[in-house]
Amino acid sequence: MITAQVQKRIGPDFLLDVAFTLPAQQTLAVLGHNGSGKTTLLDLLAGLRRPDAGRVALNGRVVYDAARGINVPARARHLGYIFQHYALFPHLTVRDNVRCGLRGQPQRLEELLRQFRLEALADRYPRQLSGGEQQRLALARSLASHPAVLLLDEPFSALDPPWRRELRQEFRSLRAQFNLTAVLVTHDPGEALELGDAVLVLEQGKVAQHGSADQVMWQPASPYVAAITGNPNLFTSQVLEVEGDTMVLQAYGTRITASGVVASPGRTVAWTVRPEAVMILRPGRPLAAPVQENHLQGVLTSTAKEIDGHSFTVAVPRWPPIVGRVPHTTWERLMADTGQAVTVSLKRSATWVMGRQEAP
Amino acid sequence: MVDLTPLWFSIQVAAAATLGSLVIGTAVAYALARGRFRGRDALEAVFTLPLVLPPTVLGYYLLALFGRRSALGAFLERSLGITIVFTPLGAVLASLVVGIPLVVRTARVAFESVDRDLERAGRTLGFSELAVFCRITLPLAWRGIVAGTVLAFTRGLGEFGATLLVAGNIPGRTQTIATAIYNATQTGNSALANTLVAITTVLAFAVLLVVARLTR
Repeated sequence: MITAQVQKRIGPDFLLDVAFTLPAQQTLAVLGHNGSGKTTLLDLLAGLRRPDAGRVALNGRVVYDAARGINVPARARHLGYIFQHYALFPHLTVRDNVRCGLRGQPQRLEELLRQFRLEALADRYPRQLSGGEQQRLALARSLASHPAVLLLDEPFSALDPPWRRELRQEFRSLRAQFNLTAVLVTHDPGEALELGDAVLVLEQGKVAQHGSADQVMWQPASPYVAAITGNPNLFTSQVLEVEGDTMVLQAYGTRITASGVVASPGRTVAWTVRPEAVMILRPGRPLAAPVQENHLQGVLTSTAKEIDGHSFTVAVPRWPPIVGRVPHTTWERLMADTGQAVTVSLKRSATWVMGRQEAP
Repeated sequence: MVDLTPLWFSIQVAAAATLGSLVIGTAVAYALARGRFRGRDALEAVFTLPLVLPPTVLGYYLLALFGRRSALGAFLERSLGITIVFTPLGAVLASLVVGIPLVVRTARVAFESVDRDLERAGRTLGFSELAVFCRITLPLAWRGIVAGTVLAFTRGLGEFGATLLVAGNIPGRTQTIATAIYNATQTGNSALANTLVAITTVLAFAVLLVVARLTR
């Protein structure tokens, strides 16, 4: 388990201020843009940099406590750290690199080389390895002494996509095998949502949202969180009616039903709907059932074939562009073309009010 | 037969001075490359000065600092029996001062080119600061340090101005190859001058080849 509450001033107008608790054997994905303070956060946990204030406990052991003057140096924190470019020692062979992580248990060396499929490469130097092999070596070295906590700084970003997929799987199996509690830093929302039991979105050194992957994805706390998770549909509207946690919004001349953070009637709120929850219907086709969703009439303006689906943009009069995404098979059945009039439907359960919009 | 005593003397002086330059220069270079402290720029400037000042100015400073009439010089002579001016020790000191900046500059670049994440990785793997330096930083920076040290040796071998002021030009006692060449030219002994010049040039050329290999 990790309990952390750290503050660190990084520049005149940049204060890193993060607190979180991570249960044992879970993975926290820290999602943020470059310069959001992600790597600094890892360094503070690892003891490579010293916070200005706060407290850090790893599995019940306090490694930093400003109030009590405790600051255990990195070498004594006993955690694994995978650096962005792996930081393999270029002057040492694969075997010697792994040996560096053993902390005085030399008998485990050969077993580790076998476990990480590095036996055949043991006498090579890091520059002679492929990207995937380098990553296995980095993992072997940092897990050699069985740390309970593993920190990973953008570990997959340097790899080509096919390698990435394989290594994410490898990471998942290692996590189970070594009972790891892991903090993984990334700017890739797909990676954060796939690997994180919990996701912490970092915005300018502050926690923008900390929740499950589903919450961060479907119930973003702010437009910033929506945008960083790959959701371009950001709207602002006035609340007309409130009933329980359901609100009716006056959105660009249309009544929209949404749920989310409740605001009283008359308030202007920011709301969103993920592209995956934007359905597209061909006009002239009556709905099979009177689905109680938010319907809008518009024109298909652009479409794009992507790896994980087909995305499209619909222009609805007076509305900002609405982006949707459907599986490839659905798109093929639809046979829609740009310029065509279409109906889009914003799935009610996914239409989410993020909170009050401050007057600009 | 040409008297090669000045050559052997120069080699001994340069060797001793180089050893000092290596230790002091490496320490200063590491501080400049990794330290974040006040007065870092001033420290760098002080250790660059010998490169740009005329050697006679350096010699003058050394005389002022270690001469018999200075407090330090008097103390060394009376309490420890060490005389610096007009002794081989003076020649070593002169070569040391001109050699240090060369080690500092090359070693600093070498230290700065070591990826700091490697040192950080060492710390997370349980290395002490000393182990980080000895097992990671130094093995990755040694080429640059050696290159600077070799340069300092060559520079020490040819040191003239400061040496002349501090150590003098006493044949058989403090005469170096450079001061011997000066003497030979002044007295019209062109055979000796030619030989010493040729030896010095070949030696310096060989050293530069070594440096080129190391810093490639």
